Amino acid sequence: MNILLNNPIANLHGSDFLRFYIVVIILTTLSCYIHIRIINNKDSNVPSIPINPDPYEIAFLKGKTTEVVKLAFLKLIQLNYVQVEDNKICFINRIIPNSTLSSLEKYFVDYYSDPKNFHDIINTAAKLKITKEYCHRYSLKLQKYNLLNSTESQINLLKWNIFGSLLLFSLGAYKLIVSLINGYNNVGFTAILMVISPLILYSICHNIRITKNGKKYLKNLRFAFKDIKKQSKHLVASDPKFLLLAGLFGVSSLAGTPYESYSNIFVSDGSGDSGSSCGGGCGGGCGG
Amino acid sequence: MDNQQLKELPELGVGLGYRANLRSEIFFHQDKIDFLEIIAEHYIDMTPEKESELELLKNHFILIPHAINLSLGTAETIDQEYLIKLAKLIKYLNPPWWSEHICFTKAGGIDIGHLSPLPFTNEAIDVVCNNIAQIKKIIDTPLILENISYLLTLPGQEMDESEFISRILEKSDCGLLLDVANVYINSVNLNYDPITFLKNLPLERVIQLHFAGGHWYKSVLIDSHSQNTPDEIWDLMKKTIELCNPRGIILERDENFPEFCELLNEINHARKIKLSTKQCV
Repeated sequence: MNILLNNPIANLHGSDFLRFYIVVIILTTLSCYIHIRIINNKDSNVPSIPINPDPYEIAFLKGKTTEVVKLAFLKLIQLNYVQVEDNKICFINRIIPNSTLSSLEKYFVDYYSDPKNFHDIINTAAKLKITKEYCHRYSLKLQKYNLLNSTESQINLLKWNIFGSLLLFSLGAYKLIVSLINGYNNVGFTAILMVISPLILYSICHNIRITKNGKKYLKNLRFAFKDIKKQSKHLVASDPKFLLLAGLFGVSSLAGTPYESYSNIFVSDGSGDSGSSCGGGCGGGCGG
Repeated sequence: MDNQQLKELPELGVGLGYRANLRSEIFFHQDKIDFLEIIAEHYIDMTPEKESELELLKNHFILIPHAINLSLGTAETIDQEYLIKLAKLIKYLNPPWWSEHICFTKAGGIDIGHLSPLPFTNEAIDVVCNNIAQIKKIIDTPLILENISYLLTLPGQEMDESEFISRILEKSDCGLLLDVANVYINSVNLNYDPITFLKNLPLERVIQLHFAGGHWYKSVLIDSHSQNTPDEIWDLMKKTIELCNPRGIILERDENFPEFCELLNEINHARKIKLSTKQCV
């Protein structure tokens, strides 16, 4: 017990400890950051822009299964399987012809029956086993091209993040307790650093899913298909470009199109997606 | 550029003059466009967005820089600062060739903002060739020169246009970017025979062709790049290809953009003409 209250760290005076603590925070954050950079900067080229970009693959890269589900429902709306009414999804057609629906979309048509709040549907659908299995192909492909970090890398980075956060929090907490036991009450800065430093570490090192190449690839896709957003107001409702538009820029980019009510679900609820600037397309001006 | 150097220039096929508003359709149809021609001036003093655009284009297409504001016919010599920036761009793109117009766009320190015709005189030939010699000291990449369209003939001409162009090409040792649409439009507006004009050019120096459609304004045909290519220009292109071996053909379109498939149809038509003509020859 004595060694816990009487050691070089416990005996450090307030300002000396704060200096020491700040150095530890900087070194921990830096080492996590460098570790992420090393994993993210694997030597590989950013893939070329494909002639027929897959909106679902892009949506998965951008926002995991949730974005894929949003796109699947957009397609169901496009094909008149589903209607949006007062933030609720109504299935208006359950007869599935030998259509272009994917196995995931067919499953959704079968699985959901009563009109439901759309956010409930999105939340449950994104967590379904079939959704995860369906998206696994995208995950593998994107990892192969070094656009997503592998699951092992993500776990590894997460461990670093957790370890670093725990280290910083524990060091602060330990000094705080020792100081209080020794009758020192001027522990405000230590308490603040104890809370803030793990948050700083998290904010710098949390984005461990998409690689640097993945971010560059998304940026390239968005730039290449930027002007589709302008065109979207003049497209016919059945145009497959709407899927790419939503895949690239999020469902909120459908504002001002025939799918505005669908986009409004996310905007009005404050759960707008990560859509940013412009639009995309999936076929070309001549429907090809 | 001797015959051996000309032979070594690669066959690029048929491409399109890049315009930013066509970007997404160009990427959707990358496989149908063999190469792109970019306006060099759009990528001098670039914003970060233009830098990204250029990098993206460079990673997907062969890019040919097409300069419009060097003003080869200006007697006060070339703007050095501008030339250095252009050289930097060309070095970055590493194209098989680059192009500029036989014209002037600046005079007396004033930028006219238009490709203006030169008087067809010996003095103008010297000015253009001196400027080209200066450019060649800084830019190694082969330069090809384009014939422009114009609406008036200047007084005091010492030769006709075909001789003027021929002598510049021979003296400066440059290739020719033959704008078939400009030949046709000039022949209509100035009333001459386009085939005779073609045959008077050093056709072995033709490296690239341009084609486009213009529009009529009263009784004048304007080179506006705003219409589909008319049959007359297709015919002239076919005859041109029978007489020479262009390494690349570019469709230019700047206004009144149609559905992209119409542009693709034109590119494809030019490709067919080139293939069929070469097979016949």
